[in-house]
Parts: sequence; structure tokens; C-alpha cells
Amino acid sequence: MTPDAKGETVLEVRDLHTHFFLRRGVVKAVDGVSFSLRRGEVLGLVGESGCGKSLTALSLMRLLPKGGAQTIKGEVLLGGENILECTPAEMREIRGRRISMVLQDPQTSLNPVFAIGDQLREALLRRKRAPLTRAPHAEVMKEAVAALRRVEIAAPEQRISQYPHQMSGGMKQRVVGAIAISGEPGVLIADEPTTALDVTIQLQYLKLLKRLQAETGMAILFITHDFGVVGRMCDRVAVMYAGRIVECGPVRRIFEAPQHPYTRALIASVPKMTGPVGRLTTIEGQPPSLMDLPVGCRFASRCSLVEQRCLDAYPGTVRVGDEHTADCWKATPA
Amino acid sequence: MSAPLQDQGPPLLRVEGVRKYFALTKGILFTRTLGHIKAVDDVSFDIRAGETLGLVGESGCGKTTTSRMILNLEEPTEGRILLEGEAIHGLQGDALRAYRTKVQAVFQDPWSSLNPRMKVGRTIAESLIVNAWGDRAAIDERVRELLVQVGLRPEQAQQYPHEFSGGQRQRVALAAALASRPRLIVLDEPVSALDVSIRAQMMNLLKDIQAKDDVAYLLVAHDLATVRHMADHTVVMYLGKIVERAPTAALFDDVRHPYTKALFSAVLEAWPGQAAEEIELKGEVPSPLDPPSGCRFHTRCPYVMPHCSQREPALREVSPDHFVACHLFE
Amino acid sequence: MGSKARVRRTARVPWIPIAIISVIVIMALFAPLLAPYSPIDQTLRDKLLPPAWMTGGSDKYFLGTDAFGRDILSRLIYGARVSLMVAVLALTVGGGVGLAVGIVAGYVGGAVDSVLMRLVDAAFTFPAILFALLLSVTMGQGLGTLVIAITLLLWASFARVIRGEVLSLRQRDFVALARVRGCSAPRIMLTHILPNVLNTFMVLVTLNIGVVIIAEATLSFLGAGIPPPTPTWGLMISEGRGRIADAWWVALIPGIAITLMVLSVNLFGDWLRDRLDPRLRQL
Repeated sequence: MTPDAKGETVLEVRDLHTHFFLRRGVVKAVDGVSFSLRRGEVLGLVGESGCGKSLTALSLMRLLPKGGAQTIKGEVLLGGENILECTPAEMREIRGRRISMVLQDPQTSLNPVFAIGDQLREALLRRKRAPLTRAPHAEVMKEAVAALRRVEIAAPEQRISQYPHQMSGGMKQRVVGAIAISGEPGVLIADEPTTALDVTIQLQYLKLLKRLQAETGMAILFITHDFGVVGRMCDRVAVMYAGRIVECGPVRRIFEAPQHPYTRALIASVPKMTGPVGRLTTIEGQPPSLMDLPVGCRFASRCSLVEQRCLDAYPGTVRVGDEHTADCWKATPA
Repeated sequence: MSAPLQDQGPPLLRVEGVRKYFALTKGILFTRTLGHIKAVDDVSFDIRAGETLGLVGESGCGKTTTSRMILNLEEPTEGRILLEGEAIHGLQGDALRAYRTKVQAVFQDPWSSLNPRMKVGRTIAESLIVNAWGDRAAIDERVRELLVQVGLRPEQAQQYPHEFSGGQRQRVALAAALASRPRLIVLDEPVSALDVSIRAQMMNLLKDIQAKDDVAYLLVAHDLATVRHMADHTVVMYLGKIVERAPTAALFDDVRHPYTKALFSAVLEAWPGQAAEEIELKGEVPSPLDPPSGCRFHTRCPYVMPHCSQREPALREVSPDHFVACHLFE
Repeated sequence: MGSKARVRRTARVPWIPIAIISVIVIMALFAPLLAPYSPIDQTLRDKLLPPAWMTGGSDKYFLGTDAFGRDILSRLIYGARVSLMVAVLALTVGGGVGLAVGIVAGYVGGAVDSVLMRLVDAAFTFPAILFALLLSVTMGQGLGTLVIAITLLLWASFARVIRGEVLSLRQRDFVALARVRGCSAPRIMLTHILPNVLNTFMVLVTLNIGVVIIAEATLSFLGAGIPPPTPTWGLMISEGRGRIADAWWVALIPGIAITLMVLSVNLFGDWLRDRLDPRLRQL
């Protein structure tokens, strides 16, 4: 699908800043992130540990971890409404119904002491604003079975009375998916949903997500560190480094003509299935401390093309192509 | 890269018809055996000195159990494992200690691999201390040398694991494995917990060390691209059995077994260039407690034939040094 | 994943608890030099005098006197000696046994674990006080009897907690790697398991100091502990118990001493735990 075939913008994030305020300093984990997500689109958010991709997702859900994390600046426009200004009660209405989330570990996403059916039922009733006690049991259970069937779980009638420990990881992740999409959200945030799964199961899950998206037209923000998953799933991809998106563009463009040196190095360092087998390209050094970020480009200390201006000031976001931007002094504007 | 086929010296390590069944029991005092989990079921392969053998498969295929038996952390139920022609299980005292100096390991999780209460220098020195390798000064010198070899600074010997990043911890674990100059290092998913850029550094380091020290690796991994870059030979396992075994280059050129094909098509390539036939497996891996009859893959195999569920296919050489266990190739 | 940064507790040195513990330890060590009177000499004419700052109090007895006219301050100072001695001995012996049993049971596992843990279960069902009484009849009252009785009360709970900790430690890769490097089982238990359960052990010790002091008091009260007139804090409370309405200071002063001691040791233990943990030490 070409970007033009996609629908209107359903989520827009502008200049998001989420910092950890600690006694020893401020950790600028998310420090000026902007992107938009259109209906029916999958945007990949890629980066290495500690780049802020998961915290970005939690900021969008307004589910920040305890311990001093705070969104101090920016806007998260969901259908034009800035949800950072919503009350906690309004936020509860929004979560699950308009924006929903799937996390990496299905083990911790499900409650071990309740049957799958009960956990689905709770989600279904909450979406309908029906009180838990007054709903006709049989009818809701029928819906729960349908929800499981939708995520392609075999024999859903039996599965519904099972507990999480009786299911495999892939199956649990499907249940988590069923709960997440039960409210027909317009935006689904998937934070490394297949990292804990085996490769053949991962492929099944990704295909399922694609099918569900085609059915519902929801937009997916897919957080991953795996370029293979990006290539398979995403229409566009945003590369994050040290709290900022350094490059964003259509998947093919990013793979074929990455403009930011970090993206280029990252892609080159992935072992390939074809081509010569030799030494892999590496990125030497470490990302800067999020407590003590440089004034210039954050990648400068590890960049092979570094110049004086890279150290002096942060490069602006340069439009390098159609829907393709890069934060680099050396990028050539389109 | 891939060793010439003529180079058939005696193997460094030989795994011979090894089985490992775990009894599933109930009760504490009066135990009742409910069944056996056939984690590894009749597995044989060789590792030659200085080469890397990749062991590939999904969770539950028995690759980790196999590696734990090679490390002498588990006893095989049946079969034997020979290092330099000598059976490794049942070794006692000095013979066992000598074995421990020859076979070492690096595990997946860098956060669990190091004792948080021990300075990393002490961890690296441990096998030297246990084996009375030399006096304190000599051991300290060797630790400094090892730290430099894995790309760390000698003075970091005095630090505790929490002062290191994941990639650095994995380097420390490698230094500890190298200390006694082993002939074989079992690498159980050594890079899968690391970030992409750190992964490449670690893989390059492993190859450099192999080139210099002539150490053999058993690389247990699920990522085919990693295996392709590291291994000379590759063994593919499914539910405790070897389904395909070949020199890595030959395997990647010509995948034979349907399961291996499925694994290959599940590899998510950022550049899905070649239009290979795509196999999406239905369902999940069956329980090793009650594995399917005949060929264990027949329940999910797209090419299943009537006799697949009845007869178990044997490993057959389909082209030089390329073995496949599948009725399609009989 | 996202940032792992988290607020860490800054381990401030707990000066006040350290000061209180130091005072009590100094009291115990130098009791003969510090106490104004003998702790056992009775001056019946001065019995039940309130503390010096109250009406009716005497400057001679700063914290007042008990029913036998003994100086409470002197008894408190000497009592610290006995209480601390009992605590140190019982925790060393009982805690040590529990630590060893927990580590062996947890690491070795199998039949050894089953047998040791059945012993622990048995120890829990054991009526410790009855046993202590029995012991004092057969062995006679005294410090040794008291320490043995409290040890029997303590070791099982130490063993059970430590074993649980060891079971999860044993799953960590560094233990398997130690085996691969050729470490023997005793060596692994000493160099890899023991240092990693010391935190838990320290916490258990501090939590149990209060238990020991109270157990000592109970047993002394029941006549199975240190025989009177030797002062112990527990004995002082039990002696003052009957007169709490008219001479509250007799019971309350040793009570405050016990509270201060237990609280200080707990705060100190918290700090020690943070300090001992290299992951928290940097800050």
C-alpha cells in the first residue's frame, strides 16, 4: 500500500518530553519525540535498549512507571484531542477503547489466577460499560469465544475455561491481543510483542496482526529492536537514539537509502541471510548518558562522519525525501 | 570459513546416540512416574577442533539439554559423549577437573551469568584458582591479559558486575570461559540478549578469538543469520531429534527438510528479496511428553505422507556430508 | 526496553541508631565502671522510689528503685550485658545453624533437602517454651540453657527463609558456570551462594534481635532463664509487671530500653543491607 492510500491521521505526537526526576539528576529518556500515525498504517519505532522507545509508548498510554517519571512537555493528539490534558477518569475511558497496548511478556500481561474466559469477559464488559454482575453470562461468554476465534485460537470453547499456565507463550500472546483489540481501538501500541516467541510462532503472530489490521483499519505503533520484524510489518519506520527520533521514513527508503549515520550503521551491523559472510560492521562506543546529554548531535561521539558543527549544535530535522526526515547536519535536503 | 570436507581428522568432541529422558514424577515420598519427557532422543554429531558447530531449533527442541550434557551438567540417559576419544560422563576427581579446563561455556543472559557479589577479576580467575594453575601473581597477570583480549581494560578486574553493561558482561563471561585455554566453548545463545550493534561486536570478537586460539565452538542459537555468520556446520533439531545436518554453506544453499524450510521462511528479512517458497507452520510444537509417532514433524508438515506417522525416518546422506531425516528423500 | 533508571534509596548513615547501639554496647562492656551501685544490693528503705525528676524522687537514684530498693539505672546497665550476651550467642549459634542448614538443603536438594526440611517442620511444631522449661530442670538455669533454648527456637525459621533464597539462586547461570569451571559443591556454597544470602541473613538477624530479647524475657519470667537476682531487661519487666499501676517506672524503663535497642538495630540493619549490596553501594 502506498502512503496515500492510508486514511487520516489518528495519532499525532508533538515534541514529547518524558523525563525521570531522580535525586542524582534528570534522566531525559524521551526528549523531543514527534511523529504521526495514520489509519490503517503500521509505524515501526526502532532502537536499542534505553533509547526511550518503550517509555514513549507508556507516555502515550499515560501509564508511566512509578519512580519520578513525568511527561513535562508536548502533545499527544488522539483524533485531534490532546490526551495529556485528560483527567484520569477520561483516560480510563480512552484506554482500551481508543488506544490499546500489547506488551512483550504475555506471562505478566495475564492474571495467573483467572481463567482466560473471565479475563476476556471483564475486558468485554468494561468496553460496553456494563456492570460486571448484571451481564447475561452466556451471551458474554459467546462473545469471548468469538474474540478468541478472531485471534485464531483453535477450539476456543475449551480454551475459555483454561488458565494462562495451560497455554503456550504464543497462545497467551494471542489472548492478550484479543483483549487489547476487544474494544475496537483506533490505535494499537505493540511493544516487542513477539520478542519472547519462537521464530515460527512469531511469523504466525505477525501475520495475524496484519490480518486483524486489514479487518479493523486500526493504526499500529510497532516497537521493536528487530529490523527483520520491521521489514515484514511496517509501512514506515522511526529510528530512535538517545531519546529522539533521528530518522523517519517509508520502510523501503530507510533500508535502501538510510540518511542518518546511525541508521546506516545499525542496518549494516545486522547479520544477513544472503551475501558474503565476513566481519560485521559495528558501532563502537556507548550511547551518551541520558543524564548528561551533549549539546550537539547525540550520535556525534560514535559517528564516523563527525565534524565540528555536529558537536556544537543539534542538527534540525531535515526533509530528505518524500515523507523521509533525518536529524543530521550532513543530510541533503530533498 | 567452512572447513574443507577432506579435513576429516579425529573429532574433538563426539556425541554418540545420546538420549535424555526426564522422568515426570508426582508425590514426594512415594513417587509415581507419570511419563518421560524425551528432551533429547538419539542425537549424534561431531565437532572438530577449531570449528564451529551451530545447533539450531526452537524452544523445546533439546538443543539446550544437549549442550548441558556436553558441559557435564546433566547425565545422558543413554549414549555417550567423547572428548578427544574419552567418555566424559562418570569422570571423577582429577580427570573431571581436567575435563572442566577443556570445555567451557558462555550463556545467554549476561545479567545472570556473573555472581553479583564477586569482582569480575575473581570470576575470570576462578577456573585458574580451582585448578591451581599458578601463583597469585601469575593468575593476576593472566586475568589482565584476558580482559585485554576481550576488549576490556585490565583495571576493570577490580569492578563488580553491576558496573558493566550487558555487552561488557558478556565479554567478562567470555574472558572467564577462555581462562583455562579450553578446546571447546559451548555458546548458548551468546548474543541474543544483546542489542543489535553490540551483537555484531561480540560475534566479531568470537571469530577473532577462534582464529587466534584455535578453540572450537558449539553455538546454540535460534537465529539462522547468526549461525550462518558463525558456524562451519549446522545441525537442526526438532523435538529432541536431528532433522538435518550439513556444512553451513551447503545448508543455506540447499535446504532440504520441510521443518528447516519452515524455519528459513520464518526468518524475517528486512530485505525479502528472493521469492523462496514460504511455509507458515500451523499450530504449535507438540509436547515432548508424548511426541507424535513416526516422524515427529508429521503433525505440522505441509508435505506429510501416509507412512510419515508410522515409520520414523533415519538420517540419510542426500549429498556429500548433508544429512536429512525425512521420508521425502528415500 | 525502556530506561531502567529508577529512584534508588540513598543510604544515609543512621547516626542516631548507631549512637544508641554504641551507648548500650558500652554500658554492657563497662558495666562495673559505669553503674553507680551494685545491681543486686537491696536497700529496702529506699524501695520503689520514682525517678529523680519526679516528686518523691531521690537524687541518689536517677531512674528510681524497684521493689527491693535496687537501683534501676545500675540494673539496666548490668542487664544490657546479659541481654546482649544472650542475643549475640543465640543469634550466632541459632542463626549460624539455620544458615548452614538452609544453604545445604537448598543447594544439595533431593533427599538431603527432604530430610532437613522435615526437621525444620518438626522444629516449628515443637513447644519451645515447654522444652526450655524441661531443659532448665535437667540442665539447671543459666546462660547456657537459655542460649540452647533460644537457638532451638530460631534456627528453623532461618533455615526456611535461607533455603528459599538458595533455591532461586541455584537457578542462576553463574552457579552452573561455577560448576563448569570446576568448582566443588562446598566451594560453590561458600563462594557463590553464601555471599548472596548474607543480605537476607543480616535482615533476619536484625529482625530476630527483638525476638531473642523478648524470648529471654519470657523465659526468665517463667524461671527458665537467668535466675534472679542477676538483672536482665526481660526479668526487670516481669518483676515490675505487677506494680505497673503504682510504680510504672520499674517495668517501663527496661521496656523503653528494649524498644530503643530493637528499633536501633533494625534501622542499622536496613542501612547495613543497603551498604552490603554492591548494586546500591555507589550512591
